[in-house]
Amino acid sequence: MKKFWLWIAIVKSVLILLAFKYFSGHLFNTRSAFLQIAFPIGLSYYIFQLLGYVIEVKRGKVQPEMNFAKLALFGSFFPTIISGPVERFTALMPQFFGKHKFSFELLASGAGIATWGFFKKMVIADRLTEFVNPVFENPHNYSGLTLLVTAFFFVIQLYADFSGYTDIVTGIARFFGIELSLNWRRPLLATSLVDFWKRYHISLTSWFHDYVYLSIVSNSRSVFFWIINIFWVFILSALWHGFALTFLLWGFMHGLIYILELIIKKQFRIKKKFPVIGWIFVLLFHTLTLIAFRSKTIEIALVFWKKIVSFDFHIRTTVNEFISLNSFFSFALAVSLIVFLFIKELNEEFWKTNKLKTVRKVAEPAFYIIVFVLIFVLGKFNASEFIYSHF
Amino acid sequence: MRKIALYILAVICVAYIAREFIYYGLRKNKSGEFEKLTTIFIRQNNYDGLIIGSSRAESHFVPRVMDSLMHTSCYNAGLAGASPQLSLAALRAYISHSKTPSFVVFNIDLNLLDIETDTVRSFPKYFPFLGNDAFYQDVKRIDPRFRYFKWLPFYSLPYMNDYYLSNAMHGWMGIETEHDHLYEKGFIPELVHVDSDLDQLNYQPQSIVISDKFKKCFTSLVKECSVNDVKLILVITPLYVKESASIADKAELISDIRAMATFNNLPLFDYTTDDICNHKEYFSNPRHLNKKGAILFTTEFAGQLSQYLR
Repeated sequence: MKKFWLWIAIVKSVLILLAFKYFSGHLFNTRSAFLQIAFPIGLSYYIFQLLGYVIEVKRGKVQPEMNFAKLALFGSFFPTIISGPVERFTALMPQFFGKHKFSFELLASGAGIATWGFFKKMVIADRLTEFVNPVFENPHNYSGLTLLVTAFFFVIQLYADFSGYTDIVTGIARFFGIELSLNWRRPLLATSLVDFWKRYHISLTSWFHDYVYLSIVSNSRSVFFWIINIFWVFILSALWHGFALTFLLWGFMHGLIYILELIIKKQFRIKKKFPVIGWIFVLLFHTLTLIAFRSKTIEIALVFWKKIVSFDFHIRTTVNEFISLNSFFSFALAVSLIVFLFIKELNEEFWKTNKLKTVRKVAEPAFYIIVFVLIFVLGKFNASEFIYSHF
Repeated sequence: MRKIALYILAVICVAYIAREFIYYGLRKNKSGEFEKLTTIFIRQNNYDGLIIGSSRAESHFVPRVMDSLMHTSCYNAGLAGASPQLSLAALRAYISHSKTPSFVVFNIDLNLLDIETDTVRSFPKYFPFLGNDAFYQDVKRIDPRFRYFKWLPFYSLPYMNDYYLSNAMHGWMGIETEHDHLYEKGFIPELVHVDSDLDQLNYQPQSIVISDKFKKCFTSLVKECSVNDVKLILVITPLYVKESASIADKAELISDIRAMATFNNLPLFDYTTDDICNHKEYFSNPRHLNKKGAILFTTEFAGQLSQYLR
């Protein structure tokens, strides 16, 4: 009986999601002639969150919540409603009903995280949009190196936009004493694709792992099915973005290389001797595959790839092409901001927390105060919504 | 609570420092648009003649030509996008800290006679100059937001886009920006070029009525010049013949302006029927002469003005 209700919940949720995606034009990138409706903000995320809860109940890991208001609170906790993180019932629910006291430390650290999130969104991501959008609109007019750099800019834009959003909501939740789960662990510093997917959009990838992969993997133990199951998860997560060939191709490439990497690692027992090479590979692969993710049609992605592999690279031409899109100052600033982002990420990755505590105590607030003011100086205040709010 | 107050104070201090860093950089420019604004609003000047008005004043009067023909020292204080109210504010600001010029040339824009707007075009460029109290008092009357722009860094900083930041950096580094070298004593040739044939453009009929706002501003300008013992000279600079023809009842409009000038005992030089208006090779676009046209026009005007002033 439990299984029956679980399937009812899954089918109903998926149908609701598909219906809204279809009638809002998000599924096939074209609007239905029959009915046109707006896509509810964050629908995917609270469906994922509540489905996770239902599956946990079915697995007996969570007691059913009998109070509808409490369950609704879990599904619609306001900071996470737009784009997650997709929270687990066991992690979030107890926090709502625990004791919370006002703490300056919580307020300060929450404000720091949120400030950095706003900086990533309004200063880095929205600034890069000015270069990414026109090039993806008309890639025929640009040289191969410009297209490669633009694709890399999109990698940074997407990361800064989405992780910026996560930082903002994590900071806001912390004001109330609520700790949200970690969604990003510096994925752009990953040294392998497997490592990358352990760091990238963690709450959703772990959701797919726990509730999709583990649900199907338990039925099969052969290597063939193991590969198919991993592949299936990648394809499913790609199709969640939209029923387009571009997303499918992106998921396919990631799934393929992910499996190859796992097989090679198992077969040859490669140890991490050359992390820099791995890092360059992941960054390059992510850049090249994300072209498919960003392109409106597969033809646009093909133009990108063809021009990039022609290796007709001229730095002066590329700089001039970027200047023509905006100004030298904007281009130089965009590049400097990317460097700044990487320095911050490297610092977080390698800083030993127990060292130089007193320096950190002074440096950190000073850093966030400067970053806060820089948002007003360098931020784009006429800019766009969050990229993932579409999904 | 003390800690929170300390943080807020630190944030405000850093914001003021960042803002002053940008403004100081803009004011440090040694040529170009911001050097011009510094000349008008901050520097002590000693010019005999001042030209005020909008972009048509800025790109039509070449001070170098006037200086050589009239043996005077003139400065073009025309500001792109300036309404008559803002031109008056610029004049007051200039007089507040410089030697009063003996004559002021006010370029009357026919298309600004019916202006009713309360905003200042490209307003962030004036932020670094709000320290000029005469200007601040006037500009906050035109657009009350200037009150907040002056005092609240978090209100003004978001308007400092890349153009201003880039210019500030250039100012700090002492490097010219792309168009800076084109400026000469406030004059800059019109940069907006219409590539297609001016005769082939679609000229929409314009119906212009002199607004009360303009009349009030004109009265204030006359009074300001009279109080400071400055000769006010009114000029309507050339428009391309087809642009001119698109203005309904143009003759009546000019006659109204002439009546206002006569009433105040002021000279009016009208060039809208001058021969230069028939030659498209002298225009960058229907409302603005190119550099060649500007030199030709200024030569003609300087001759007539020196005769009048004699």
